[in-house]
Amino acid sequence: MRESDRQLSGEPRCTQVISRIWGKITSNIITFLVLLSLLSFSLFPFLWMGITSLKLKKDLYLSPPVWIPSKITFEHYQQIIKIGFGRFTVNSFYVAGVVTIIVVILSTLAAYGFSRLRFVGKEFLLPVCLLGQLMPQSVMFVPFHRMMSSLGLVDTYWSLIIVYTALSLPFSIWLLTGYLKSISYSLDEAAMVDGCSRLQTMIRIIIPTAIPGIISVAFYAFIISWQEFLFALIFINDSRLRTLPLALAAFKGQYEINWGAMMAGAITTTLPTAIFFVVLQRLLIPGLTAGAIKE
Amino acid sequence: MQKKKTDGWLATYFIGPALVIMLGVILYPVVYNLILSFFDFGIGQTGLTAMRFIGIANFQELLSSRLFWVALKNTLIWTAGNTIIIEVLALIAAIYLNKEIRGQSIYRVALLLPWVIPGVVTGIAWIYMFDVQFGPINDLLKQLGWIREYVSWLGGLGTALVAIMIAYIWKVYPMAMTMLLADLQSIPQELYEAAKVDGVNSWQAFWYVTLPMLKGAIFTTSIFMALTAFNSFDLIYIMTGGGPLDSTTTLGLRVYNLGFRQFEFGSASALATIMFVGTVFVVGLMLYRRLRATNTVS
Repeated sequence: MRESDRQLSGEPRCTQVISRIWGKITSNIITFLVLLSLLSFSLFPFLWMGITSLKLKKDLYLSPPVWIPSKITFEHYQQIIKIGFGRFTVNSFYVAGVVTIIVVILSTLAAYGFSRLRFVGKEFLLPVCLLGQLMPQSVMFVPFHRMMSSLGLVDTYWSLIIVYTALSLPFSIWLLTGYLKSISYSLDEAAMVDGCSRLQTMIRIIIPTAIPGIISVAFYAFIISWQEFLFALIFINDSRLRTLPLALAAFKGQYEINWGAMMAGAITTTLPTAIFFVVLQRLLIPGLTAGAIKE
Repeated sequence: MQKKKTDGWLATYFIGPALVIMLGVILYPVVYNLILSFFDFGIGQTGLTAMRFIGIANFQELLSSRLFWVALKNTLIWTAGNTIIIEVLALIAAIYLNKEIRGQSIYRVALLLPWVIPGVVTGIAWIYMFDVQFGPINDLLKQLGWIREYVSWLGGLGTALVAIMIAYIWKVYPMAMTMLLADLQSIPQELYEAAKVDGVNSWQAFWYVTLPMLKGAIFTTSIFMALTAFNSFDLIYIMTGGGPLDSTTTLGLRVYNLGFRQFEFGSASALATIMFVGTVFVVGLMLYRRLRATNTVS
């Protein structure tokens, strides 16, 4: 029914208003229910992991399972630290940290080049970057293994650092290039008129303006390195060098049934990125989607 | 100030290092892999075997093995199933998230959380959730009366793939939702207002305004999701390792098994090459379509 028809229909005004309000309430309720379901779906596993990691040993193997334990314990966390999870956490931080620094530097340089400089093959290189991102990892298993073997880099952190850097770069460059393109060139011109070289312009002027984009890139590189499992599996055999995902997987093989400890390990692996994400999300989400829309 | 024709040399310094790493670490394996597909190479009883050129024998062997076709079927179910369900879920989530103006950023963070946690953690958490005796899913389903007996999700031939898909969708759909949400928010309000004046209800508004405007985003995210699913490995490896009875073995997993369980590098490379060709084909399709879209005047 058209709005204008309604007005002419002679229907009392208050009935119209009531039915409109009723319609609004229903749609609000539906929205709430949908969002609640999605929220439960997304958050429940975290809840379950957390509760399990704090359950007493005797509560772990009950069928049906206990949903809300009456007593909690931290013994599982103590146990995994004894096994070496402290060391594994440090390993993961080290690798992820180094990769993040390298990726931020290289991608900022490259993005500056792609967004500001003119050169042969520019249009061609950026899509190729993206293609690299979409490569099946399966294609890289065997060659990487052979490559790292012959370079003697198996069982070192550098094998991981190099690979993770290469894996994070394409998307990072693409993201940052999109972001930098939106920063007006007049800023560069002003700086260069004042006598700055390209490099100085980049460092002094552009980088401070592009902080959200850079943080997104840093976060992306960190996540990729932190959670990467496959190449760690292939390259690292020494159990002392394991990163957290690897440790967790190996742990699963050995202690398959010790769910308390496993969940404690899982929570430990999850917390850093989860905390970073929640803290930085205001900056990150616009940065992550900006690249997406521009395409 | 002199205007240079190109910033060629300068560009090398800026882009060089990144390019070298990407080409070296991405291009090199692809080429190496391509070449290795035509060789017989692996680790035998006495260590590394010599590389022997055998032409397309690897490919012939692959295509005639039953396991290849099983893996292909699984991969197709996995990729198509995941992509479709993710797109639908992401669309619903994006639309309803868009309606909620107040706690929107809080909802977004909470819904995006699964995406930022490591795949291994996802796998382990969901293994436990699907556990036959101690898992909450079985308990919940039984209490709701939906099942009579506890189901062995990860041990059953039909259910294992579905279970892993659920875990995968749980982890990945937030990414698609975020992309769709961004596009959704860029739809101008005037379109909706114009529609309202014409007297459409909300369903029609969705069908005739929202959906057409989102077509591009849906297409792009679908391709992206499909490729990501095609390449994914972590979750399946952790949750079932390919079983039971190869019902969850995908092509990627098969490459891993061939290379690092059976140590037949040549065969592994051959399969990886097949996967690579498939990927290039799809990406090429997407680029071609975009090229056509930007070249035609709309």
